[in-house]
Amino acid sequence: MKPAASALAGGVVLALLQQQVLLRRPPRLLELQSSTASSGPAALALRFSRPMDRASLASQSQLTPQLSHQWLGGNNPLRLLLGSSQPIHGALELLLRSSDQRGVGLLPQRWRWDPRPRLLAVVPQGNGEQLQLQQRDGSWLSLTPVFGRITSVLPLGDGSGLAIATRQGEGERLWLLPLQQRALERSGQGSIDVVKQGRLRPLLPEPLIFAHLSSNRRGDLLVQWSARALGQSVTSFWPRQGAPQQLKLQASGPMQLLPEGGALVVPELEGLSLRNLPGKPERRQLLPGSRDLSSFCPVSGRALLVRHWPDFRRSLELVEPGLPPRQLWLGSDAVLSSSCDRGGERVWLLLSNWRDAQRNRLLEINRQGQIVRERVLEGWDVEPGVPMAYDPTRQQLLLTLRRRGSKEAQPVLIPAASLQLQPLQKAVRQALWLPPG
Amino acid sequence: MRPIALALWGLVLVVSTLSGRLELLLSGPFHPLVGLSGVVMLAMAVQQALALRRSSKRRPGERRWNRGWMLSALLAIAVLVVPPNPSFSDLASNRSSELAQEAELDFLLPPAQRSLTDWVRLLRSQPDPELYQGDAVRISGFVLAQGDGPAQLGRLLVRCCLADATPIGLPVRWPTGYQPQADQWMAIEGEMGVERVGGQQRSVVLVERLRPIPRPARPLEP
Repeated sequence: MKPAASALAGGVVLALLQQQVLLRRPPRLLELQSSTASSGPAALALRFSRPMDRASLASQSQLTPQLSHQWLGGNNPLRLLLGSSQPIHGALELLLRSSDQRGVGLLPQRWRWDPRPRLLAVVPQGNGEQLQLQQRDGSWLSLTPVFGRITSVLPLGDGSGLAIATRQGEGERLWLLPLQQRALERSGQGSIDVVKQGRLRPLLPEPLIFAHLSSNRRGDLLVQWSARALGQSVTSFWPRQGAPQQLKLQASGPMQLLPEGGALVVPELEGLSLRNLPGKPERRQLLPGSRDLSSFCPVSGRALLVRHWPDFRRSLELVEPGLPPRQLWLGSDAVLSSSCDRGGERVWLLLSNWRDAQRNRLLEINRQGQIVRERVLEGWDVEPGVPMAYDPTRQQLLLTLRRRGSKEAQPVLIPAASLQLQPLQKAVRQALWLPPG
Repeated sequence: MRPIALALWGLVLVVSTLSGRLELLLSGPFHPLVGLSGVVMLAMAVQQALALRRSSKRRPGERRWNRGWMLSALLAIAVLVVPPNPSFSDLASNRSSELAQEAELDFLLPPAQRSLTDWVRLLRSQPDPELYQGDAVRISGFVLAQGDGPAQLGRLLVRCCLADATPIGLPVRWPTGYQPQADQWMAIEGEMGVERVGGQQRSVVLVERLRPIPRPARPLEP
């Protein structure tokens, strides 16, 4: 046989061999991601190496405990969505079994999944303050040394770390504390219950006059800061991947990164503007009027705004892409903070009436602006500057409240179904959720 | 005969580029390449004609009628005269609808400004129908017949040309009694709803306004 014919025959044999090997190779799970931006308490996004038979995945896979769920999507990617109205009280176990559309089976995989956020608190320690984390067993883990004061704490949106502003002596210092935590793990590979902290490192070398922090679900960090030597405000941006950069943006207040990434909300004199982050085409959408961004909803582009009226009343508005803001509440009480479920189906509003002996009220409002539930926080004061936070996985709110007459505040959990206050016996200055990794 | 056939095929390429016929076959960035190829073929036809003239002067009376070139020329004339009218629905039924990659989605785009392609990409990347329930829908596409269910509204995505076309479709709840005709182009206004098919929830377009439209000048989407 001639060499050319031999080479050709060899190539054909190799191609046939490769085809047969690939034909029999089982499908693989390429990506598994936990998300709380869904219509249920949590969801899992799965991407496979080839289109799967969704029916076999749904019938053969098992979730323990047996929470109601459904498999959504065509055949790849697929989404496991937990049914709404069922809070998650512990780690879930998922046994993944399925076959692809040719009937080749996926090697069974067992995963542990815990999408619940952890509780973080700034705790008074002697003459200073320390950042502590509540572990799954209820014990508290110290994350930082004791600082004079911890003025601001911001968990990065992907749970990979914490940005911390502290004050000791003159000026603020800005720190980054990397964290290692996971919402998902292959069974037997380690523990999703453990959070490992990295080395605390300063983000900016000089003492600051102020620092305002913002992050998104990608884990990007935006800091508006100023130092005495500068005499002007600077906006620094630390993308999750890539080199830090300074943004040339003028704002009349604190800027906020959009949770889904790629853009930020900039308060300007004319109103709130939406701008793209570097790397995307320049864009500026302006919502005119005297409005403040109050909180973001977990789902896609929805947010709650507080509008200030000339007669000193305030209103809460829900903004949705392409629609004029929808007014949910109007009144003369001070809006202390707000929180939002899904795309604004349920909204919680924390109000304070200074003329009525500083009476604090918590309202649950639906999309139509009707008050569904109301709880007067009788005998409690709201810790100033600490926002309310909602945990969709356990369907509960977190507030930092001080019992009237008490020296220290404490974290208070409030189930959304009842709005009953469940204070935790822990003295804190501030309590917030740490999103899972 | 060869210069005539070459000139006719060059003309086919140039006319197809200028008249927009190529929009039915190729993605926009490749159009100048095709137009340029047509010009090169016309130039080659002129060069061949001149060469033929010189050789016929040397050998008068000799004529070369090649049957293959004649057939090719007739075919080129047919292509020039008869406008193409492909059935996207037939094509779609023979193609896989797997999207090669999920493009980054702009969730801030108002729902009514999302194209059919934006919707399909969004629903594939985040198949959670309740998230989109009640969102305004304003889309256009061709009626994509489904073997095992009601017709969808579809589009063809191409990277290069029809050879790599990927059909995508959105389920539509057509008005009662309305029989959509395959390949008919439609503009639909309505809102996104949720329906249960085979025990599974999925998003479906609830039609409020429906109107047949001519095939757009650029029917293929990137």
